[in-house]
Amino acid sequence: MKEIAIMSGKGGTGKTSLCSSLISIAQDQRILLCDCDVECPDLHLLIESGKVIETGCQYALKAQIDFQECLQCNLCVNYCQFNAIHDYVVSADECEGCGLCQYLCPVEAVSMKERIYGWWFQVETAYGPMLRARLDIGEQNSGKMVALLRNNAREIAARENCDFILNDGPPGSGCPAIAATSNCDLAIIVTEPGCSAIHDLKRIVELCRHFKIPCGVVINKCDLNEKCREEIKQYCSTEGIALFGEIPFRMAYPEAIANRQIPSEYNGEIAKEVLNIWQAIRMALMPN
Amino acid sequence: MIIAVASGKGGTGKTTIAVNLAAAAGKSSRVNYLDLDVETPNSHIFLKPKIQWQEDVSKDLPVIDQEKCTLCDACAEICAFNAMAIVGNNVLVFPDMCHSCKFCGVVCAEKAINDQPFKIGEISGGNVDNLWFAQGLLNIGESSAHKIVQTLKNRVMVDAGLTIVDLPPGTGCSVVEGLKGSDFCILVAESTLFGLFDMSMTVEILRKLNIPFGIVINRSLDSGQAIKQYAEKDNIPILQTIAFDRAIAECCSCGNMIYHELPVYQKSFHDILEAVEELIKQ
Repeated sequence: MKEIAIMSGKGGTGKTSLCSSLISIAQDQRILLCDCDVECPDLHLLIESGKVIETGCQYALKAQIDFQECLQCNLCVNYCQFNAIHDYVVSADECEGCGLCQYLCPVEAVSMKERIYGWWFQVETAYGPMLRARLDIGEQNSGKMVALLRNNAREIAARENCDFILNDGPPGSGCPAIAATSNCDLAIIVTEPGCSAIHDLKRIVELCRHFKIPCGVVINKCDLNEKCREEIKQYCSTEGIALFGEIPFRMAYPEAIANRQIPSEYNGEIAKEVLNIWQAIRMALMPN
Repeated sequence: MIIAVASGKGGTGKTTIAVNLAAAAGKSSRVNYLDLDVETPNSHIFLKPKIQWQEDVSKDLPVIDQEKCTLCDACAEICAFNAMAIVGNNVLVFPDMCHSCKFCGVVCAEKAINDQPFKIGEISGGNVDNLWFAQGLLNIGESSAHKIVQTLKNRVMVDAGLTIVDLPPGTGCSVVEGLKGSDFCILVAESTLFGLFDMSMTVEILRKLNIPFGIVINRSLDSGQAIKQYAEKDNIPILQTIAFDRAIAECCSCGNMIYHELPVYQKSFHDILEAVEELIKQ
C-alpha cells in the first residue's frame, strides 16, 4: 500500500481538482481518499458521500480555574508562557494545555478539562472509502487532526486491502502541511506558471527533501505564461525532480466545479491528461 | 486603521488585492504593509521592497545539563507534548514537539534544565516608494507559524495611518492571530463552489472576533451570483466585483502590479478603499 500526498504551497493551484480526477480515473485500483485540508475541506463537495461509517471527536486539554478556590496569588499568571490567563480566567483559545498552572497552584484551584476541537468522519463514496474532518474555527490543532486522520486512514486501508491512500493536502508549508506529507511514499506538487506559485513550489520541494519524501511536479494551467513554464521545467530538470505532466488552462475546470462534477468526468480532454499523469505517478512509485 | 485581507480558500487573490490596494493608497499617503502569510509569503514578489532589516525569531528549547541530571524521568512524565524521553543514559528533546511551556524546567528537582533559543524563522522589512513593508518567514520543517505572526505583529504593528495586512489561507490559528486588532477585513472570494464554502467558514471567525467585513468577488465568471446571493441573505456588503480576465492572470503570473500595468482597474482599487473607509465610519 502506497501513500501519496497532493501538495502545492500556494493555494488555488488545483490540488482538489487533480485529486478528485485521479480517483475517478484510477477506479481499477482500490484507493482511500483522505482530505488533509481540515481548515478548508472541499473534496466532499465533488465526491458525493453516502453513509457515514464511523465518526469521532478530538479533544484537547485546557486549563480551568475554580474562582471560589483561587487565592489570586498570580503564580499561574506569571509562569504561563502563552499569556493565556487574564483576571484569573483561562482563555481556552490561548491555552496550549501544558498543565504547568495546575502543577503550580498551591490550592488545587486549576483543573484540566477536555474541549472538543473537531470531528472526523469515515464515509463511503462511489470511489471507495473517504476520510475527512471538520476543525473548529481558529483551533491550533490542525496538524494534530491531520495526523489523526492519517492514522485512521492507514488502519482502514490495511483492513480494506487498499492499494493507495491519496491525501488531498492543505496549502502552506507549516504544521498541517508537514502532517499531511510526513512518511508518504510520494508527494505530487501541483504548481502553475507564475512567480508566486514557483516561489512556493521551491519551498515545498525543500520541505519534501527535509523529510526525505520523493516528489514530482504537475504544472497546471501550463499555458498561462510560457516564460514561467520554461522556468519550472528548467528548475525540475536541474534539481532532478520528475515532471508528472502538464495541464493546459481550460474553462471546463471552473465549469465542472460549478456543476459539482469531477473535472475528468466533465471533460474528455481533462480525462486523457489526468490518465497520463496517473501513469507517470505509478511509474514513479514502481520503477521496476 | 488596520485593514486585513483574508479568504479561507487559497489562491483566490488575497495577495493580488492587498498589494494593489497598497499601491492605490500609496498615491496619497504613506502605507504600512504586513505580509503575515509566513509559510508562503508572496507579497515581496510584487512590491519588490528593499529589505533593510532582519531579525531571527526563536523559541526556547530545554537543554539538559547531563552532569546534574539524575534521569529521574520527571520532565518526560509531565511533558504534555511528548517532547522529551529518556533513552539509555540521556534525556532526548524533540524540538518539533516542544511548545516552550517551560514545565520541565520548573519540575526538575536538580535544576538541570536550562533554556536555549532555537531559530524557527525570521522577520524582515524595508521601504519602497511610499510603502513601509514587513514580512515573516517560517523555516522549512518548522510548525509554529503563529509564533512568527505574533512576533511580527508585536514588533511592528503601527497605529498611525493605514496598515494593510495580507493573511494566510485557511481558518487556523495563524489566521485568527493575524486578524486580531484589525479594524476591518476584506474577504477575497472566488465565485465558485469551493470559494463560497471556504469563505463562509472565515465569516464565522470574523463574527466571533467581532471584526466588520466586506467581500471582494474576484475572478468572477457568473458575475458573482453565488456569492452575491449568500451576501444578500447574510447582509454582508460587496465592496467590488472583479471579472475573470486573462490579462490580470498574466500580469500577476509575471509578478507585476495590476495597478501599474492595467490602469483600467485603478478605479476598482480606489473604490474598495473608499467603501471600506465609509463602512468603518458607520
